[in-house]
Amino acid sequence: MAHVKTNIAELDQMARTALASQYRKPFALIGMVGIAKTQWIKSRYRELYAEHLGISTDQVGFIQTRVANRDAAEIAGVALPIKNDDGSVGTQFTKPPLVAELWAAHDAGFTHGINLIDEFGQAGGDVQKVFADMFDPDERTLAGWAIPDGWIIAWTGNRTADKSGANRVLSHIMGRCRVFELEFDAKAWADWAADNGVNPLAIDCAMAYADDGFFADCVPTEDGPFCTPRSLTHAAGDLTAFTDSGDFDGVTLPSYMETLIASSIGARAAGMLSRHIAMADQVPTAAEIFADPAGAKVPDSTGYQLLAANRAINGAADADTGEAALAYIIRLRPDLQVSLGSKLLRASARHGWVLTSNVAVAFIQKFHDLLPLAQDAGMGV
Amino acid sequence: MNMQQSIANNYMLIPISIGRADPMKHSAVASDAAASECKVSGNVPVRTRVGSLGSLTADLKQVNSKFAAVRTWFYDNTLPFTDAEEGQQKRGKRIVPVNKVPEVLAKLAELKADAFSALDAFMPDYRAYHSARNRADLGRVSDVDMPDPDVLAGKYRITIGAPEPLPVFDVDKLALPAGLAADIAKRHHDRLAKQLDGAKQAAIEGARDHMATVEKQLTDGKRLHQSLLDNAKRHASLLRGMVEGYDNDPRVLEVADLIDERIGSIPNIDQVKYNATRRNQAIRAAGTASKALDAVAKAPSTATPAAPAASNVVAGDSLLADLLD
Repeated sequence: MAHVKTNIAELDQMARTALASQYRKPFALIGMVGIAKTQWIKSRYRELYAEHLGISTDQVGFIQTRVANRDAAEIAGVALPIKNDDGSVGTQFTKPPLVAELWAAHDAGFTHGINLIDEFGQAGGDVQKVFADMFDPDERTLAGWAIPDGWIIAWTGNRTADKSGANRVLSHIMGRCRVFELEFDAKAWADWAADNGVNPLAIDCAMAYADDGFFADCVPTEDGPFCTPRSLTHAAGDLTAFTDSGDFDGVTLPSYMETLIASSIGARAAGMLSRHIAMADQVPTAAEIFADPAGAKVPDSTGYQLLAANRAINGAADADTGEAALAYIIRLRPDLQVSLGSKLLRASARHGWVLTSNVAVAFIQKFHDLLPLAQDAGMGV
Repeated sequence: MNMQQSIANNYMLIPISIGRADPMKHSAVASDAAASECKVSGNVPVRTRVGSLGSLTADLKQVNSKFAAVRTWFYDNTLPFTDAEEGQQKRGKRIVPVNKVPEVLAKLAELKADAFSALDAFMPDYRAYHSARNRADLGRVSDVDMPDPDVLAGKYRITIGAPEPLPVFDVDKLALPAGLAADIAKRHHDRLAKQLDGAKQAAIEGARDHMATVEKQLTDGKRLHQSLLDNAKRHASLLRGMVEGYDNDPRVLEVADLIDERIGSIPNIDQVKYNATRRNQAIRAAGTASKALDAVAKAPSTATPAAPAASNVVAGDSLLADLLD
């Protein structure tokens, strides 16, 4: 059976309900490498837990445990020979180091916290079995040792198809956790990136080409770097270092910079980013389009028109901005009008701020026979 | 081929007529007796009905329900083709996307066979009862006759007519003055657009109402039934079938996709009963779909009035109406 797919926005909503539930089943995120699974647990889930408890985020403890390279015995505790009172030889197990670490944090004042079991999917079956009782909301013990009551568990892992050494998660683990396959949400990433100082040119490029394969949606068959939110963030750091230097003329990335960036996000995405930077100043931004859809500049080139409209579509967040984006789109080349207008109208319905103005209706009337072509060509949402 | 013709080619009309007997008959004798027994004042009307098939009346109702099921299924899985306004009766021919016609006809034939099987199973019992007891079980009710078995059986019919193309006005086939022909064509086009828009509206409103039900039931419903999911799939199919042959409204198609992805894809109602994640996803999808469809339903119509140019020939409304009808 396929995993339940979700995105960051849904996770935020679900986590609130899940935290309020009487069953503290661990939150588990699986998905492609580098799509911010760990980051969400580290930052957002921690904030939501703090919000649920009514305390500040820094009062919520956080322990990240990587288990991909560990043996089951390291997790569960090691068997040691002992001499019993009657002189016979017996066996005693050491306290699992993770339990000791959790209680140490608890005793240090962190009565509540999150223990992130990272790269759980990469752990072997024996390690997974050791964690089964700890994940069980009715047990919450590791090798028989209870974990602190205020600490909740989360885990992350890759899919088996991601070529990261991930194994199938055992079925009894799945039944004890809330397991989601995290789908990448470009807009949510862009919001996060903007708040965290990621180079705006990289964010803008990612948003403009998110639907055109800028990010890899699975691990490529050929070896080599590929673009994920994580690798783009790293590449954006290189870009910032260059654009801050005196070598940047404001328009062009030299080939050595494109190569450097390609080492993080792959040659295809690096090329898109390079071209995007070269054309950036010729294309209106989403904010400019929303402010004046009838007067915003319409570039002559088809590629630039596409970029401008994608900026507006991806930036639209409500009916007003959506209507502005549509008003701009109907000024573009007719073929782009059909494909991009269809994409925008579908997105509006999906996001709940459906466009119903006379402009939207007139658009459907005018192009009703061409709309299936736009969809068949994969240009819809 | 003009736009009207191309849209009309995407649908067919299926006429259907169903006949059955009402076993409950009004009886003045029983009404008087009831009024007297209940000491009802003289000017208070009392109207009592008696099962004309005696003790087999309930059995005939079971047969009737099989006949009614044909219409119920037909109405659930097709859309009205009428220019009746909001609040007006929308019975009559039903519109079906061309690619669904074989499926609809096959199901109707299956339901028709079920209905007549039930009737065929009932009739021997009734013939025996009629000849053995005729009226005996009706007591003092002298003004209700037990129907003759052959007459009773003759009242049952299900006629599924041959699918018809949508009526399209072909101006070239009529030797009319150009202006008059254009006027007739425009009126015909407007009427067809109104009928198709009415069908789209019915699909949207049906899906919207069901999505509201799904959202409410999944949020605080005590007993969840599989029909919540099955009907969601049916409404998504009706939406898609209607819109894909008409205006390809991307908003409605996206909602149909959303319903299929998040609600219709759930194979069993138990999965939402016991899985909070799936339930929450379905609730959110139902809420979004309901809201989006409500907005589309209230928005201006996409019925395209792109019609032949209006004529400068003055013709009386009644003449045109007569020609159209």
